[in-house]
Amino acid sequence: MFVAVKTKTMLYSSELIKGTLRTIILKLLCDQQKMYGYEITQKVKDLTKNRIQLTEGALYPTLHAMENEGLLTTEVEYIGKRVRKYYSVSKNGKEKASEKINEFAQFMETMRVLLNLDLNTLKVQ
Amino acid sequence: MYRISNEQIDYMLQQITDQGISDAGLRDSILDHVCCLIENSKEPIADFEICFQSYLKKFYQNKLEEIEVETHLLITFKHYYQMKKFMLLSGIAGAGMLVFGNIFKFMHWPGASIFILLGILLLSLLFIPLLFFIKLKENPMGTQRWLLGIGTILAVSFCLSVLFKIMHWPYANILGNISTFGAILVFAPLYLVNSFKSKDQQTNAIITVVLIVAAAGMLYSLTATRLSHSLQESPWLVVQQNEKSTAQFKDYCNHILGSDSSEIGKQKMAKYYGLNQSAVALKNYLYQSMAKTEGTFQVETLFESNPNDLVTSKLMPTDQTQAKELIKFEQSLNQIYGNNNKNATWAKTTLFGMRNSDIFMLINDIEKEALVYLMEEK
Repeated sequence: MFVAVKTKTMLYSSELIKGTLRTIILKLLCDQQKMYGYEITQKVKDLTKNRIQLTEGALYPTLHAMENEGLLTTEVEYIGKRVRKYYSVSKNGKEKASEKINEFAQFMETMRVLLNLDLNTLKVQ
Repeated sequence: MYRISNEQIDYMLQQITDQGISDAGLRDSILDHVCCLIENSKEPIADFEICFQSYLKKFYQNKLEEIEVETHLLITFKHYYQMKKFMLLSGIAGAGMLVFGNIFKFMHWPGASIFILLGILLLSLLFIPLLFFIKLKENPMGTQRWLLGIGTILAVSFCLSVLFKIMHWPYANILGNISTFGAILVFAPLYLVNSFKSKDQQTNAIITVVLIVAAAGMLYSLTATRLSHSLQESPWLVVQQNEKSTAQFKDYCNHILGSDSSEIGKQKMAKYYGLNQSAVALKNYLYQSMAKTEGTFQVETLFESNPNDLVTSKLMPTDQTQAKELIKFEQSLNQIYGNNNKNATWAKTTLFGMRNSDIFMLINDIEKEALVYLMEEK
């Protein structure tokens, strides 16, 4: 999967973000009810102050796969000749979201211990 | 905000399709996304097409098609992992049930057959087909594809032949022969040819083929557990010996009874002839019905029949024509024993459900007993 995350101030490697794309999507949709693809990229951009910019090439395959697995439900809106697909979280998706967030929190904690990091003294530019 | 016309939408849709996106859902998503990017562009748009292409380029590294391939991979690989998990589970469960079933069988505990049945069914109808589909996803080329297909069919038919054999269902041997001969004559040569393409696989390929042939040979030696021909015939040799000794005994009785010229002696002689005749007739009838030949008694044809078969079917009490000789034998016994015919009744009931070879000796025994009774009678 070619997750490319572009950052202006700090470049996160795609390997670092690879496993978190689903968590990001699930969490955003849990908070926002329903969103379409472009909206998701903009929201992530705004929330992270441009530090994380999801690429379309990674976002859409993941959204389609998650829909296929029953984690997301969709509804379609017609804007003239265009079709806009809104994504929202299904019941399974909500369970998966909390599961994924917990897993990631534990992972961060483990990494902090493993790398002997003091998060308070770390400054993010 | 830039306003996009319907013609521009048609153009974009065509471009997206031409660049390799065939999935309608994905096409709509990409279109809507590019439209949003163009509409929200902060810079003024001079040339729409150039602007569109530059935005579309952000979607991929080399080709737009990548997005569809990636989507397809994500969806199928999810199934792939589920299938793999399911295959492993069914394999472990099937093999486990088979082992437990056999342990139960050895220990004569109940439920052994159910375990074996379920184990083989899981292995042959779930594990092996799933393994086939998973291996097929790895895209084997040319001969390997054939090997995979033939191997799967042979493995399933082998498992089913074992199941059919132990359940005494029909066509077990046909299935078994198909799988073993298929493995030796089709699979092994194909495997050899395929493996000989690369030098490092040659030794391994020869070892595998030798193992396949040896395993098939072992399997066939295991099935050759029927009685040997000489062992099958041996009961008839005992019958022959018995016939000889009975004949000697009857000669002796004939001599004793013949020496008595009184009226009672003559009556005894007549009873003896009656018994002798009906016994010979009964034995001839049995010989013939066993050997399924008409006419006179033939020892050679008799030996072709299996002495271990039960005679019940040949002496049906409901079928009067078949039991005719038996009734005659019984009547001649009644002549000797008179009212004291316990032995005759016993003879009739014991004759059923015996081995072919035993019944002749039993008839001789009954005859000898009756003769002794006759001689001792005053």
